Amino acid sequence: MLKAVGVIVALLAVAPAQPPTGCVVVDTIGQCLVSAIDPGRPGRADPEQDDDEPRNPQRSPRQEEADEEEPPRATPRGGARPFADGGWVVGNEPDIAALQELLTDEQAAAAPGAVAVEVLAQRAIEALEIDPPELRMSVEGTAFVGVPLWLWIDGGAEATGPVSTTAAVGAARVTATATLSSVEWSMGPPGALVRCSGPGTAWAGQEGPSPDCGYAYGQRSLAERTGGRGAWTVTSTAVWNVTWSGVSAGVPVEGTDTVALSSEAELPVGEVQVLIGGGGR
Amino acid sequence: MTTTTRLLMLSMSAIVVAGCAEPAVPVTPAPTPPGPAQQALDAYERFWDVTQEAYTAPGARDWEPEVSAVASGAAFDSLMRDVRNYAEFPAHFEGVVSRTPVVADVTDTSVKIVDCVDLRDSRLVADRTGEVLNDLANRVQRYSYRADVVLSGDRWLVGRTEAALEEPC
Repeated sequence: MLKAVGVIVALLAVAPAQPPTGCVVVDTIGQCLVSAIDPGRPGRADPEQDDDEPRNPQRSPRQEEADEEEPPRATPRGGARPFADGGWVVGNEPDIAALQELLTDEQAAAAPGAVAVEVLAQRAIEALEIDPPELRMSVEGTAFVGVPLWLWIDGGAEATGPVSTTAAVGAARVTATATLSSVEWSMGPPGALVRCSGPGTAWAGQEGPSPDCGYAYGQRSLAERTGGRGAWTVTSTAVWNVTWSGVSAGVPVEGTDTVALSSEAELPVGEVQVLIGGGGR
Repeated sequence: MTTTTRLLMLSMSAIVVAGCAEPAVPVTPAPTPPGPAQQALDAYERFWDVTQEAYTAPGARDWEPEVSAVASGAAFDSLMRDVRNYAEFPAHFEGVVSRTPVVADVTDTSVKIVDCVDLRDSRLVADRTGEVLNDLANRVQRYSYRADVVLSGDRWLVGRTEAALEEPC
């Protein structure tokens, strides 16, 4: 069964995504970006920028007003974060009846068979034996600013899949198969996200940065930055691609979904202090 | 051989010679040149091709020649600013942008295009650290995107773009 509080389940496109607001940096094609990429940020000179002009001509007056009225929102800790499809919903144990209620009357009337299939698929997905990621980092205790950190998840083949399960009601049957597609790490500071295409490489004392999944902190976890905790909250989110297929009312059915599971850890980050002695007598 | 027979043979030879000299050419209608709407749509697609190529490898070369071939005015300035910014950071674009452009208004010298841009399968990634630089908490997944494509000399160029994030599509 899907475990862990904080499970993020991608439902079957029945929950409309709400457009988020509060973009601070927007580029030509409309990408909403973290402030670190802003050419107008202190320390990032933009030779093309005229100080008399707005920082980004792509931004709407509404966005400009929003900046003045409220500070940029931080990335939510843990829980649901939009990833690739905006359809995620936070839930501990998805309720089948609630799923059916989410369908509009028109959907239910137009395709009653499809409703049953979607519910059946959801049951199969819920039954998948997927655990939240066992997050690992190449540090015990305290990490340090500027020191490469290796990130990976443990669990062997079970942590990457494929994992399958079948749900059946009457003659209808759906088999869901999940495979790890990526692991996304939220390191704590605003905008500090690392997306890794796999579980990452386990650290065994090697020097240098991880070959495929790593991070180096640029900020200490000062109490004033971390809500008094003195540690950054590291959230590892394993994203699984789920394909499901089967037969309902004698007709082949299939579909895809996304399931994400998260784990969190607290990580204090300090700074290496180098003392230069005067060569005492 | 009678005179009549000779004349008949000469006539047939003349017909054969004439047939070799002027072969029959099938008549095909001249292709109709595409109208402003199609030319502007083609230019808009080239603009996106160049944009994605430049975003994918912003530091690989000076992109100004390519960008100036598809954009002018504010669109050129904005795109070049992005590309130089990403090259300097350095960062690069990964993934696919899905779009469904339609022509909204046409004159002989300008065309307005309204698109629906879908960024769900794309990322801006820091070269050195692999950090995802998209503000995932606040980004809009699908939104309207407007472009003015203008005739500049004999070329259609994207002159202005607007990502209408407040208009999901």
